[in-house]
Amino acid sequence: MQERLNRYLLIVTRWCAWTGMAFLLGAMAITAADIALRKIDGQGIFGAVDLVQLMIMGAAYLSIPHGFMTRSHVSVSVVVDHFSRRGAALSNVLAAVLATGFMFAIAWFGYEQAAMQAEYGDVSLTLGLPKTYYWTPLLVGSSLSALVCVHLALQAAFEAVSGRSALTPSAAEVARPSPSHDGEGEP
Amino acid sequence: MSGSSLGLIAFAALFGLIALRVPVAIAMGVVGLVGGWALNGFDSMAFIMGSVPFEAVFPYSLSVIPLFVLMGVFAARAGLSKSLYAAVHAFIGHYRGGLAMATVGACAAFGAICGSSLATAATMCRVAMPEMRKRRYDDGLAAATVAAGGTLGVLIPPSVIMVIYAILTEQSIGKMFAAALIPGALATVLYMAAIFVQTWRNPELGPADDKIDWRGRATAIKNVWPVVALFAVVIGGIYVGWFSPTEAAAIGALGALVLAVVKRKLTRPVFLDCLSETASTSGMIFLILIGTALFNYFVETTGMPQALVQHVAGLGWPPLSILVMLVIFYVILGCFMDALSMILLTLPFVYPLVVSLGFDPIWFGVIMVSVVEVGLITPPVGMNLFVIMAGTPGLKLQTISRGVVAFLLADVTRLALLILIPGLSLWLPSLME
Repeated sequence: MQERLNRYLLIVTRWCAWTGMAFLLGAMAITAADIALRKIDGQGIFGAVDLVQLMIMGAAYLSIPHGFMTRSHVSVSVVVDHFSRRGAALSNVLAAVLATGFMFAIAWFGYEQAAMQAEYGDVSLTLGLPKTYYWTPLLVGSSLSALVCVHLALQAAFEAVSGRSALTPSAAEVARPSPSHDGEGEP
Repeated sequence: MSGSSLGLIAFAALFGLIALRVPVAIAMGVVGLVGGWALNGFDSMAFIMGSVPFEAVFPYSLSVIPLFVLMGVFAARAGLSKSLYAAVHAFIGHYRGGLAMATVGACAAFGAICGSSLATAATMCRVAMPEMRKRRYDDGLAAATVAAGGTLGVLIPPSVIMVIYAILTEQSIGKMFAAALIPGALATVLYMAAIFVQTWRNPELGPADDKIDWRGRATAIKNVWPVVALFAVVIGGIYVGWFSPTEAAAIGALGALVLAVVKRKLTRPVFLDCLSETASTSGMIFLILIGTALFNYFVETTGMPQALVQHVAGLGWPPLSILVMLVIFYVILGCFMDALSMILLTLPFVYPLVVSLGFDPIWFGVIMVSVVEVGLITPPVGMNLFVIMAGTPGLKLQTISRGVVAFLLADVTRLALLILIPGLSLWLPSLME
């Protein structure tokens, strides 16, 4: 059950992150095209800043759940490395519970703010895009992150109680991020 | 309870949570949230939670961060590191310790298009470690060279950490980059000097390699023009005012993507891997920015930074001695925390203090980035050491820790020079006025 959920969440967060990165590539393309057009006709792309801000909101918030799933968010292990397995698992429970609460709070209070801005009809400066467009990635990313953190808390709780991992070694390996490497070496 | 007392409790709680392996961003965010609630009430906290996570990501200037990350990831996969290594090796590889010096030179050149210390260390480890092992270089020297060389990725622009410092302190990113150019070159020279001294004292650490003729050197140089061109366009473009930093980052990312495609390195799985890696790094950075924004908001309402500034001013110590104490504090903190967390956690206190002492924020930024990069090669949590160990079978932490001592001495020398001669950092930015 845990393993299947882990697999599904890994797929969902990965696609979510790739969507975010598609936004980032979009921001890159818009900025580059804007520079080129400005050089050619002195005009550039109308509302390029609005579009890039929207793309970056997407890139940032849709990447965060993937960071939780691959344990990429920065933490310090110096003390916990000296704990027993169960002690370390308990520490992971605490981290995941706090992360759940924090990401849920961002989603909850963010939703209230987004609803208020939608009611007032707030729009972006140049293109007049509804502000809800900008809020959508925040709400999706923080909600999915909260869900991922609940899953991580359950995994850690299982380990704290049983003394063994909820995932098989191969499934745990898949969740780890790959290190940077050069194209000339092995993959 | 006064704001300052609550702030002190919050700090204790923050370090406690970080010690319990709570992600730094979450620890800062939760402490900021709870502290803000305790100090200003629920309504204020609810408003802050509704607006700060949005505002922390929304500014246009922040788009420079993921774009530079993307540029670094594509550059790392484009296979440029081997050409850089071959080019530097062609000129100095025949000296004693020349292969290690070539590694430092290649790291500096790679750092000039990458912006990440870990990516530079990981990439150069794959290229340089096998070569140095093949030529019977001492493992400690070889591994420490790559680890120390990797730190040049943070110092030599474009640097993601430098961008974050500039954004948080409202300094010009272009001036920060210009300020880091000479210190970056100085770091490269001092690292090479550290290798020279070690191999001069004990030639067996790094035997000399065969000399390459001028034809071979010309061929090697020809292969690195894309790297030179990319660096010239990105950093030169910012320096002469062709691009804003965001535009330069977009051009750099596009250029690195094109290079990876032209060099036929960007297969579909590699491309998706690049996207995943960029997403992980960007997500991590943005979450830290969100946590920091919440924490900073709380810290400012406690009045602690102002109290600290007043307290330190009341001590009547010379500003330089306070700066030296700050540097020592960062070196010690760097043994236990990563560079980004350290900067974000301490900046709300340290920056007002530094400004009140009359120091130039750009100059201090270079010093701060230089100090936190030292933490990347100091045990027990020097991230670069672990990256090298992960990529080098059979390498022990003791071996690499022994090797980094000479490079740490080079770092101390560089820091002393940067503090005593501010012109090393401030001369190039002054030309941009």
